[in-house]
Amino acid sequence: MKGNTEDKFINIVLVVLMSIVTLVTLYPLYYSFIVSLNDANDIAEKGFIYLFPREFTLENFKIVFTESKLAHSFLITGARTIVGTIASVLFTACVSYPLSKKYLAFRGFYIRMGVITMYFFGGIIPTYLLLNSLGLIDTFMVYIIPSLYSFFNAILFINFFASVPDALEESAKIDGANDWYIFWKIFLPLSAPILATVSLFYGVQQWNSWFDAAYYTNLADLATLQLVLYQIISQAQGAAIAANYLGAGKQNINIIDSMKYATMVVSIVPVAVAYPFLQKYFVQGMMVGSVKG
Amino acid sequence: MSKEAERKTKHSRIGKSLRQQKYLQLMVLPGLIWLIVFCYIPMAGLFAAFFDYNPYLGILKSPFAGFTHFKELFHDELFWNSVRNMFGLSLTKTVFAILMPILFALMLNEIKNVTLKKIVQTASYLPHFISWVVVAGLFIMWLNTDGIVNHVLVSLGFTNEPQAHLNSPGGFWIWMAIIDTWKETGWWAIIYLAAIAAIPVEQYESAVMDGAGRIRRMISITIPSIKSTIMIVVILSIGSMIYGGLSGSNLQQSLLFGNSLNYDNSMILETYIVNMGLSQGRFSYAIAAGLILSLLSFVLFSGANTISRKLTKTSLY
Repeated sequence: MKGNTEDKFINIVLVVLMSIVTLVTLYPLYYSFIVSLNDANDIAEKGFIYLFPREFTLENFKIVFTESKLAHSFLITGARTIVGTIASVLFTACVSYPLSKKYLAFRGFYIRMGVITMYFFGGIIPTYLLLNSLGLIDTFMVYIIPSLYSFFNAILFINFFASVPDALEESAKIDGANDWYIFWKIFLPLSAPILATVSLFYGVQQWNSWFDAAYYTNLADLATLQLVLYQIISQAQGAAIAANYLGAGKQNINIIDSMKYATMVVSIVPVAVAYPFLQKYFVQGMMVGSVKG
Repeated sequence: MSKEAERKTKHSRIGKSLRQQKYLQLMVLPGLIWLIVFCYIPMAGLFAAFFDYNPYLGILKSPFAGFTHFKELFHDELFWNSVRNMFGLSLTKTVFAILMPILFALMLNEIKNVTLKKIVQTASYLPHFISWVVVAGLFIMWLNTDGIVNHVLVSLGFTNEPQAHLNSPGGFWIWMAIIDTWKETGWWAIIYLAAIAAIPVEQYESAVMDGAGRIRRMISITIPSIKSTIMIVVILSIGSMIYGGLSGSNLQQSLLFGNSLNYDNSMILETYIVNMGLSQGRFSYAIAAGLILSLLSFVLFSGANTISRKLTKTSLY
């Protein structure tokens, strides 16, 4: 049948094409992984590796975890991710819940206020000046408070809450529950998929954040992992860190590149590990949000 | 009823609603306050462009400057260069950013094997979650003269001499587009895949019965059905073009990949603002440029929305 041959041909082309796409997408990450596990001098002497580490070593990771600047930044990033994500998710959920009720007074006004912030911005400088006058510059809170609310994420919550059957709320109200109780004890437990989705979004944003660390803080103690990584990328800092680790007098510039890879792998691994578990939630979440929105 | 009595009834009705909804209204309040403080106050801060803003005196006591900063801005060649770069970079990226996810979603949808489909899709949006710092770190190393890209190109015979691809203005926009595509295609494809999943299966079944082949079915059913999704994404992309499209990655790319060698093409308006404002402390001047940026973005967004509403009846608001 004509259909069959066309079908088979397309299938083969598709499989080949998609496999190439997958390889192209994943290989950069895989490559970083194998180089981070390979001895730095080996790469310098013998050239590139493509599939597997040639000289396996954990030395590069040892630097990352023991070099004080990197280790400390890891803690800061971890702290801001955990605190920031929980705070942002709960804040956004709480503030979005009332907006999902059609009977809310001034609802249109609230929503319009939120929508406007999606496409008109004050910009970086006014934001910096504001943070300065609020006294947030150079504090840990500058990582948390300005990130508490994103109207995009709010929309995801609003759509989800609106899709819950009214009967649930009505029967709770008949039983005498107030709105806060209904939100906290009924709607929130139901929103596991959306909570997972929004947690992933806020979490990744916190984890990957470097600009605010670079421009809104000066203290070295507040440096995040991404910021230190950024500094390592600029050669000078990388050399300094390497020298610090290896001890005075020992020069080894080869190790700088491997150090970069190891730091990057450390920064990627938590995301790569968390997201297969969360991915079915956020695909669902994106679909709910986009189909309705 | 008299006007007075009508107003009183309306007020008491609102008052009653507010009392009934007191918990809900209280829950909204922190959000409202947050929006005002972190979004609307900075918006108002844009007015500092018309003053010689002095942080110690505050906006009310700072001397008025009118259009002085704007005049200086328009005479600065760097400013115009940064505007040109912003559009150049954004346009290059937007073309890919709109096309590639659609193509990818269409192809992914045609895959019969569910396992393969899942693997490809999962892999495709992993780069989205990697930070730009990491991505920049990796690609800068690889595109260097002694990097792996040159190594492969030379050994495969494509070129005789290794080039530092990112160290000249020439290839900057294209490379940023390629890297942005690598990072974001899989992610934006999700929206299309969701829309495609909503197409009723019966449409395909009846098309098969009418003798339509794979490609025919895709052109006649799949693509028209996701037309409104595509329009929404196009509106959003044009609207956010100033910042680099939906992923808003212009500033990240400019700061992370930019250096003194590719400066001519990598410095965009946002970077200009960061340099003038945060590095050099010329607040009012930088805010003037920022006001232009925000206005451009607003005009593009509203324009795209209006045109789409007129042409295809799809719009965001």
